[in-house]
Amino acid sequence: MPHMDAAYNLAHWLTREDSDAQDVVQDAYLRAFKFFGGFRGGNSRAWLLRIVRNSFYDWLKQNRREEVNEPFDEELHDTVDETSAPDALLLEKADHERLYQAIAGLPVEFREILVLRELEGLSYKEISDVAGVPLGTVMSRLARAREHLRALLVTRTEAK
Amino acid sequence: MNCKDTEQIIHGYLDGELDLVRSLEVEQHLKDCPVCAQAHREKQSLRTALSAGSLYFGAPKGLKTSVRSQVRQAAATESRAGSGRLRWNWTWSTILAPLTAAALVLFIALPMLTRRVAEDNLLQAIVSAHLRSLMADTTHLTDVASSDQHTVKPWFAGKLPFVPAVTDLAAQGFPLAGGRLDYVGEHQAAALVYQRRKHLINLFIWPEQGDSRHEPKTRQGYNVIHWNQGGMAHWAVSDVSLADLQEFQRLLSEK
Repeated sequence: MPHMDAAYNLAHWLTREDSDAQDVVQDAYLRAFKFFGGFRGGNSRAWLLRIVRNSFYDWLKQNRREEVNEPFDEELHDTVDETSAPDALLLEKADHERLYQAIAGLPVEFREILVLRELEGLSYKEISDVAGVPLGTVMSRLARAREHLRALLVTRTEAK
Repeated sequence: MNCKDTEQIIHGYLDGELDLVRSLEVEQHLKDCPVCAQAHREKQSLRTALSAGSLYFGAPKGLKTSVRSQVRQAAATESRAGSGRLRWNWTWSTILAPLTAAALVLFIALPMLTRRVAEDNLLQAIVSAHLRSLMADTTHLTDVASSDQHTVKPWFAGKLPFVPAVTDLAAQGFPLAGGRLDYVGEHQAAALVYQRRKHLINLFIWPEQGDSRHEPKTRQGYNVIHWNQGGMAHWAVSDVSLADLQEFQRLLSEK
């Protein structure tokens, strides 16, 4: 089964739960098998990840209705304080658990793009294909995801 | 480039998504501006932390097995449903399904894929040739530097097995800057260089049958338009706007 790790990694970050992630991946591979005719060449990993993402959103509709409709609250999430530059070294030392919590705490539309870029190493073009958003949106969401992450890490570091 | 411009595209720079010219501009700004340089270092260290933090979840072993058996089951159901009265038994479907899949890949998917790859390679070669011509100093941009089509066209005679049509479009805002010989993929091409304000357009020409127009493409920030006309393949590539490049294409194909 090709790209299983990539599929599972994305599903895990989207669902934040091992067994849910496994369900999503199962569903995605079944779909991939059924719709292989829809594969028009090109990057098969991006194609599969797109299916994983679709499976996830369908799963979400069935299981956690509230998260779908949860609007992204700019006021609430926009905690970026430009004046407090974090210590660059602090970020590098950020331990696994804190990073995990910080990413898992991002709204899903930012989380997926961050994971596709930073963990899966996809190009902007590939991300735009997977997530079905324009290139410009990929870059702006990535920028904001990183800013949020930075802010989250800084706040948590200071709270310690 | 100022701080505001830099801030807008710094993520593209960080991800290696900018074209050469803009990358260099950002680099220059980062050298000059300590504030932006600091912000850039922070973003880099965040990336380092993300990639070093073992945040990647590999698929559990059991998942691979169960997905495989599920897909197999679905494949079996599908072939039973599809075979109808023929009543293929289990042995046949297990033997035939992989064979059919292999045949499909060999006869349909593979040629499709190779054609796509070939097209993609050519597009990349066009953009590379364009970049090459810009990076060399101006004497290599053109072997014959002239805005006179009656100088440029005869220059190609004897150097190439074909003579490209050379049209000056100075009156329409695309003055001819010259021509040179170039290799694009496996094609020996005539490269004509045109100017559009401060920008350069490379037009690559080589013999190819057929009349066709293709969708404009973008690669590394450069627009590329490809059309075949009068027994020649034409590839125009530039960082001018798509609208300008389409205008350029229209003017040439009307001549």
